[in-house]
Amino acid sequence: MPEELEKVVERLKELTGSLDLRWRRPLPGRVYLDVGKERAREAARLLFEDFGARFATASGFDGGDQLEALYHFAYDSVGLVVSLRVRTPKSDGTLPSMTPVVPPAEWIEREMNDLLGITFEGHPRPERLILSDDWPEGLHPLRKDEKK
Amino acid sequence: MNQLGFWILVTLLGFVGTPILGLVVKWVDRLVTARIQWRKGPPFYQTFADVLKLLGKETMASEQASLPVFLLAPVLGYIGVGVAATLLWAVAIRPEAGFAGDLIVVIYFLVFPSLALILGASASGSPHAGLGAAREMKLVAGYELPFILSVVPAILAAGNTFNLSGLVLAQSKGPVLWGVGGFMAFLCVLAAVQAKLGVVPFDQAEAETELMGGVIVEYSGPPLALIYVMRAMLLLVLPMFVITVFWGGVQLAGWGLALTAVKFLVLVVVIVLVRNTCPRLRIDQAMKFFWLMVTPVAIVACSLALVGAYG
Amino acid sequence: MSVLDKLKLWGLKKSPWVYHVNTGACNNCDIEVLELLTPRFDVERLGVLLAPSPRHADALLVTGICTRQARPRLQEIYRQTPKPCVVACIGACACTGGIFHEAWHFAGPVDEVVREVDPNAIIVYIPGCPPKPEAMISALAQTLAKL
Repeated sequence: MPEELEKVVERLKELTGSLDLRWRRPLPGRVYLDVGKERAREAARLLFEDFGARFATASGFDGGDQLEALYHFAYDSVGLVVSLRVRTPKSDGTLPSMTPVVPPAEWIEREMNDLLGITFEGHPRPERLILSDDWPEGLHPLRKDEKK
Repeated sequence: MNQLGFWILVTLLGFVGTPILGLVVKWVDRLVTARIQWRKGPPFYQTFADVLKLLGKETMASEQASLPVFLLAPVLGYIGVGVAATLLWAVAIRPEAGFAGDLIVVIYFLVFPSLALILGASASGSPHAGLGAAREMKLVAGYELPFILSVVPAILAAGNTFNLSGLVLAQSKGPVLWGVGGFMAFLCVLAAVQAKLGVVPFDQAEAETELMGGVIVEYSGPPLALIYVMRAMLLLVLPMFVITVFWGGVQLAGWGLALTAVKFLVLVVVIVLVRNTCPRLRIDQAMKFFWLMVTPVAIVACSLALVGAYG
Repeated sequence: MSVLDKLKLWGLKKSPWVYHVNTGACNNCDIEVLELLTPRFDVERLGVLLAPSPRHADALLVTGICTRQARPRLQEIYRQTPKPCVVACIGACACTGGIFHEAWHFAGPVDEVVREVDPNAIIVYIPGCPPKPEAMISALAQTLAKL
């Protein structure tokens, strides 16, 4: 219901006020938070534990010169989805891993590592997940600049 | 017909006639299963087509398999069922045929099929088969005791004779299962027969969806055909054994033949119905069932029979 | 052909046991294969039984594009199936690669993968996305008639 949704969004705004992040809300039930690498883990922990949202999934994106990872948290009772966006330049290619604070993120980060080549620092088991055993190292299929 | 001719006929019946009749009974099994599931089921020649097809395929074995045991195990099972069938046919055709203690011989040879599967599976060189063999061993440890115990009331009712012919002749005044102890023993033997046949709820050794075929996972071609035939023969021999010991004996003349056919069909249909309505038990549940339910009932049946015979 | 060979061929035609292999499918074709084996279509009339092991199978029902990971495994399963056997490519993905033809994990349509092991393999194509069980039964019946 809309009023409950607004209350929940207000609470989210209060919780995330201390971190410096860009807030976008294109639709009533969709919130995008852009956060820098340093505060990303704290923001994720805030969403997962303090806010009480469910970690739904994560998506990776190759934006030309930047690689980004979006972590989608769902607050099911009001139908709100909060997406946390973290970016890194392609030359760098590393992001802090959310797995220590959001344990369900372990496999999806391994998948993003396989397919996009994002290295997650602090990941407990950075092994290959979905590429086949004989796939060459360093070849990341979903990068835009890779041509087979 | 003289002795030698009689025994040659009966051996042929046991080793050649029983497979053919057994395959027909297996078709009946599949037909009843199909009808329970509201479908038509396979044509009557289906089981024969299965065997012929398997004979035409190549035999494969894993590199880790121990070939002599792997290939000879089905033969061992076939011989076991064949001998038991021969003795049962002998008593059916000529009730005074048979020799002292042939009941024990039949029970002994009826262990051979399970033993053959265990040996063959252990020699297969596959972990699935090894697991299936372990389960089959546990299952045999569970059902052999009640199987043997439940024959005791029949022995007692026939005046302590271990001859099949003695058991059949003694039932001319009434089948064993008409008595209270006899009926309980009959139920126990039905449970044991279900496990001997390796049908649900006791098919843990072959668990299709769990173990990929379990004991028979590595078999292909003619050895698999022999195992298929061995199982079909068991489907014929075990109800024959039950009728011989508990239900008045197999009679092949006149009205007796029709009555025997009806009894046989009833037993087969009961087995198939149980098979289609029960889920597969876990191996520990099956063992608990046999040790804590069937064996005590068999013991009680023996006690009642003892009281009835001597009390 | 001798009488025994004729009998064995008759047996093969009347009793095809199938083994289902998924080499990277979206599961849509697998669900249709599962439906094929339900009592509604009653393929046991044709003698079709689901075999628990490739060693018992006469027909391999292969679904999915063959991914890189699945390629050696599909070849091994084909080798483990006693000949004579039939490979049925079920669905557009197994026949040609379907919409995933250009994908990074595509390792050849199923028939090329199988022909690498056995150039004389008998391969049946059942296109569709997913093919209806009726289409599969029709294909099976036609294949058995041609054997």
